[in-house]
Amino acid sequence: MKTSKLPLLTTGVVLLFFYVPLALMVVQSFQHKVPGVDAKQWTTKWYVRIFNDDRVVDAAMNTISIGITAAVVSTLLGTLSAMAIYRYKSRLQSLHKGLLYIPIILPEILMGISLLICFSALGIELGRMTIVAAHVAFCTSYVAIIILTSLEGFDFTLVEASRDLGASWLQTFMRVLLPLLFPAICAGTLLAFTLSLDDFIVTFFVSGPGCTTLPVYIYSSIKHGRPESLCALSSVLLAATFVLVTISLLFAGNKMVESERA
Amino acid sequence: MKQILKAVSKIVLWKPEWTLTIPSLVMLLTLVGIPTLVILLTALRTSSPTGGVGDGWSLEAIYRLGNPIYVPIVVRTIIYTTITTVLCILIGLPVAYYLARCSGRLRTTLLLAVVIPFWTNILVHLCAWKMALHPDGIVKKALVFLNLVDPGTVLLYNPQTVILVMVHVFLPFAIIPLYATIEKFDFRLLESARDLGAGSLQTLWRVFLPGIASGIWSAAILVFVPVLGCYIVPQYMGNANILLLANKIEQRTFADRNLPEAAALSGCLLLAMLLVWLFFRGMSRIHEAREAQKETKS
Amino acid sequence: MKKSLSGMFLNVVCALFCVSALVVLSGCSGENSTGAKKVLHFYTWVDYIDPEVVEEFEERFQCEVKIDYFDSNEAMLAKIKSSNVGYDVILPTTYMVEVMKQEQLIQKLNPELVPNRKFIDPVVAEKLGDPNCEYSVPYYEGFTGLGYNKKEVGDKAFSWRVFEDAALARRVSLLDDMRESIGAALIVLGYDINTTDDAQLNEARDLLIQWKKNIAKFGVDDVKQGLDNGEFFVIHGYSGDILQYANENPNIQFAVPREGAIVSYDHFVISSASAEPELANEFINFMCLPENAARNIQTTFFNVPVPEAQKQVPEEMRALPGFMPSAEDIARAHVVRDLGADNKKFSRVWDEVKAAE
Repeated sequence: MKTSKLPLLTTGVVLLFFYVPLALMVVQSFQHKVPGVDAKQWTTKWYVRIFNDDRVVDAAMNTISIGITAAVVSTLLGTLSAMAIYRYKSRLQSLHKGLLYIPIILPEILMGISLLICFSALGIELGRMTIVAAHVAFCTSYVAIIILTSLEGFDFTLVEASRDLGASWLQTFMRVLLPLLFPAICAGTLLAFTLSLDDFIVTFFVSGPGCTTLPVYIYSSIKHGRPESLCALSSVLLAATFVLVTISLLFAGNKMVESERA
Repeated sequence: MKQILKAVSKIVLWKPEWTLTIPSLVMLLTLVGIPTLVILLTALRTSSPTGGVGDGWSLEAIYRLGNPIYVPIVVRTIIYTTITTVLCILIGLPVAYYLARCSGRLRTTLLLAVVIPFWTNILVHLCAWKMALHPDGIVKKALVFLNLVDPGTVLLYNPQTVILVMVHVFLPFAIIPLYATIEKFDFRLLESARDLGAGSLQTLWRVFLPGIASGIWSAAILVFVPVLGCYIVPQYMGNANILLLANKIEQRTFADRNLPEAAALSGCLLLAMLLVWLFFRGMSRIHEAREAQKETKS
Repeated sequence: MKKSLSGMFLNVVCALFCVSALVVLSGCSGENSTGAKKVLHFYTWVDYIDPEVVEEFEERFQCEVKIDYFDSNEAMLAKIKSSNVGYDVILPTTYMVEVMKQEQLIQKLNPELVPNRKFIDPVVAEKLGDPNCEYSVPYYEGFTGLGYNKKEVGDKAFSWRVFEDAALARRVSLLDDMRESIGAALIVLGYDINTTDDAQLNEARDLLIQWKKNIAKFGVDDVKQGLDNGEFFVIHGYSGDILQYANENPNIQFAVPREGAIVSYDHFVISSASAEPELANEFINFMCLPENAARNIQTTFFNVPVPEAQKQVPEEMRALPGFMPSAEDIARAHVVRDLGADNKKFSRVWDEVKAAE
């Protein structure tokens, strides 16, 4: 079959579009000054500065642990709610779906303030738990929407067939539903992790003393102080991501190729 | 152990709808429903000069929504978000298609290559673009070298820059749901359409796009809505005139310390989104009805 | 085959989840991890204190100082007002100190524990209306003036009217701050920056709209980098921020315009909900010691109204233009006050400026 070259071309251009600015940033992180002004000199001082800064290291640990927890919890909740909304068309589900869209629509500032008001009214101590709760609140919606999209083309007779053939609900879920929804669930988890990693407005309001996360630190340092080490910091994050991704590719990639051959 | 599992499964199977619904519904009610009500109710409160809400109830914040300064802001917001959404989908479609069509390790690699830039903080995207578009930066130099722009052109701080950066930040929001749908699409349909003599464009228009319509709608919502709430990009990349609704809400909350008015504005935003959503739902209902009609005809 | 892939994915995710959930549950305040050590929570701006001074304080008082950050006075207020827990020492700006005092979010300092407030310049304390430092100690002093690129615009006495200069079109920026920008226009017109007179405010609005047509943007705090790398020729900004760059880039200078400028002070205050008020008082006292203040000046490039400390700052830093404002500069500088319900008037003007095309 003749295929158009357009998708390939666009993908190439988009990848360039994504990575050129990021590459510039990495180059920048090894320089004293912005390109174009004065002589360029190479330096690693920004990196030395971050790794020696306990505040940054602490903030990074906070961010990652909160991100993973929030991503996993919201993936679980999001998957369940997507299935419920897709499977049943009741009044309850209309309410469910409506609620699901609110966190995406509500401006982050107001979501942060309203959550803060509720937490303090309930006397909940602000800390990492409240940050996770807030992140779960908005990540779940994104996960659910992605999985719902994927379910739209889903053949539920497969589930019924499996149940008719005597499989338990757990077996059906693990053997039939999960593998079919796997790409969407992965995509949802990734999205949730990213959103959690990126958020600083809601986090600012619901964080307690002693749990500044990296985005809150970075945002405050852009507003005030000198954000030069920001490029270095982001390059480290990027490098860490690349390493993780390569490792997971080494594992998953082989398996996936095998599974397609089988 | 087995007995416990059995007991659990009995409870779970007793009302499967409830089992699936309750965990997320309870979370949404407590962490989303109640806070949203709280914030919408603040729109009906008086504002306290020291920030937060005052003691009384008043409709002042609602009346002030009639302020004529909001008209250009709303129009501008709609234009910017629409352009960004359309661009993201137009660019995202071929990419998602390519991702879904290639296989094995290449697909995984590409998928992650699309997602990784997404893992960098939005502020880093801004810094990177500022450097790229800097008056002495490489993009400017390249464009001047190719005689595409005048050496005096300023690339930063204009409407195009805001849209460029918004697309850069929000493109993955479009690619991910599009990919999730296209991946499920039965490509044999395309082949049979061609076998039946349909041209490429016709196949695309009549078979492929309707087949992935749900993915396009959800990509549209996933891009449109966060762009609507994104005040950082216009603030950092825009000029003195690019003021979107989200920037206004930020000003009301912080600089003006007028929470009720910020809440009223957000209430409008919620209402507008509800209308958009109803519109999209109506569209897809009409679409479904048409499909059904076609089927009965044939 | 597919099942094994998803199974493996699940295993990895579960493992990661358990680890991170443990970290999350281990809590934030860190009291348990440090044992009997006291913890002081300091809520401030990023890079706004010399870390070595903090370390010395920790050693001297056998405690741990945990620092959290905010990026604007208003965001801090919104947070503290809803849930005033956890923080001991906060560093808000003058007008915000007034609001917090009114809202009873801060407590009086203990005069016995803060004897070093005697080092604070009495002229400044008097000007800010709290001569005995009863509620707060004024600390970092920032002038809002003009940062400019000497190579591009030359070295001359500046007026706020530089924003009208057509030769600098799209290469200048005003601050995206309601009080600062309207304040600059009011100063040019010769009015009080805390005026609530509608006619005066309307005049300021018209002037600002005229300036707006010429500027590149209403800059957030990122424009100072733009000044450093040549994007902007003149920016409206805070002294310390610009002086940090001036210290490394000889083309950059800071100047207080000849019509006068706004000065703002960030004050040390103690939260009314502080769990360690004694330690908080000691912390403020420690920061007022001239040698410590001198080191903080060198870290932030913001002056501190402690004359003894200013003498200890190295000569080359004192020589930076605009770094040491004259007594006259300070005397005639304007201080932003909280206007209570009249803040709405400024909001209206700002709305109209922003909406003007």
